[in-house]
Amino acid sequence: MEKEDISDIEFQHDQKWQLKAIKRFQSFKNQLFEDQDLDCLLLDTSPGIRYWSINSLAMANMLFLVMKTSDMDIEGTKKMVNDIYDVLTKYGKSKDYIILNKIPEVENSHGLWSDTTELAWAEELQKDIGTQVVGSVPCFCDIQFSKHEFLFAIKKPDHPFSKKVVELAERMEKLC
Amino acid sequence: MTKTDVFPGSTRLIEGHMPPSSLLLIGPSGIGKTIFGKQFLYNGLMHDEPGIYLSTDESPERIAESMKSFGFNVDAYKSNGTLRVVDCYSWRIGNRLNKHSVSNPADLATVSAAIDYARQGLNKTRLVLDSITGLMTICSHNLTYFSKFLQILVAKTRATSSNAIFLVSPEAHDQVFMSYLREIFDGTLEMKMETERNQSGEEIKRLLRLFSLKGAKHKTQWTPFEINDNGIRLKNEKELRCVMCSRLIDWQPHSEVIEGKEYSFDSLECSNTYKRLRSLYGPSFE
Repeated sequence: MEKEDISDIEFQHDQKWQLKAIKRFQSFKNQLFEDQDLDCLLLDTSPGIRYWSINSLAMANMLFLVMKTSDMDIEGTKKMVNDIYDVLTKYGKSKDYIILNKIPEVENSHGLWSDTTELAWAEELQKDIGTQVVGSVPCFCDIQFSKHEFLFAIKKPDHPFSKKVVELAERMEKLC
Repeated sequence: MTKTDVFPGSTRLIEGHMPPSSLLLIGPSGIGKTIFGKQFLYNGLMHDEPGIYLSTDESPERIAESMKSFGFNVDAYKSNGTLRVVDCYSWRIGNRLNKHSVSNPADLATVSAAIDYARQGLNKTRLVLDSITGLMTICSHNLTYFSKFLQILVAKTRATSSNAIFLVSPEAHDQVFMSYLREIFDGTLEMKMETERNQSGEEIKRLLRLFSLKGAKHKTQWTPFEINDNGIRLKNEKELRCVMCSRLIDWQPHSEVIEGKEYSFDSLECSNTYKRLRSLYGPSFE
């Protein structure tokens, strides 16, 4: 069988095929947890309303929505929460959370953004969207514009970015 | 880890975790008790639980060979000492084949000492005593003494949170003895044969049921089983599959009525996933 592009999968198969694929996906997920004794499985997907996104969201017990602080992201997130996530979280214990992405660190932005302002902003966002903000991923230029790609938090565990990521992971773990 | 059978079919017959138990397996000769015991032992070895096999009817070599014929290759386990055969067979031909051979199984104290010796250095083990019937035919003790011997074995098995299966052919014993036996163990497995008439003539159907088991919720109905190249496999009278993940539902299904129609799921999680997807895709999601 030839490797298919993800967009081909969506456009070249009918809904019956898509539904069958979801069932296989669910079966695979169950097998992974039972056979491999997994604690946690991260499904990385776009927040859109395509088949692959919706199916992944429906399979998950917990949804973490990673968003930037731009107005466009906020509006888009609001729409997604109202249209999709609310429906998904209606059944079972599934819950949705927000993770703020590319938050400027105080050292990088000369005091324009601090932990206090981040907290206040997160609270405001929580009220506005109605979804809890779990934490944030900081933005560092040395990572953003790094020439090479590697597992940063593992290679440089003492970097402030890595520490913040570990802190976020711990918070997410507590929610599980 | 996968839902692993302690004994063949245990995950289908028992809900949740099976407590460490000493089980009595009752069944007529030729039905598959010995294979059942060997498979139980092999399942344990595969999960790092050492095994002790007491045999009155087969030599250690023959046990290994017959296990291999079902794909249970125990050579490595015999070599590293995690499978120990208490040989109550070879005394007949005057051979003392291994250090766990019993020269006089007519004396149950000797048998008991051989089992204790085989248990040395091992903590949680799986024991198969194959069989009570075989041992009864060669031992020279009365019923009370024999019953005491079994009670001690069961107590020692419990003390180490181990599992054990004791095989018996009911046709060789009277009712009083069989009633005694049922009292001694934590649970009873029963096997029986039924003859079925079909287009190709008469066919023997093998059935298994878990009659009793202390400390666990379990099914009690007869379940058909077959003996194939991989040992014993429980068959399904009627296959019920999860609507969401299509997996065979071994235990009670999680049933939900959605828009007036009843659906069976493997778990609550599958049911919730199904409802989420249905709420997004609509009733066409079947």
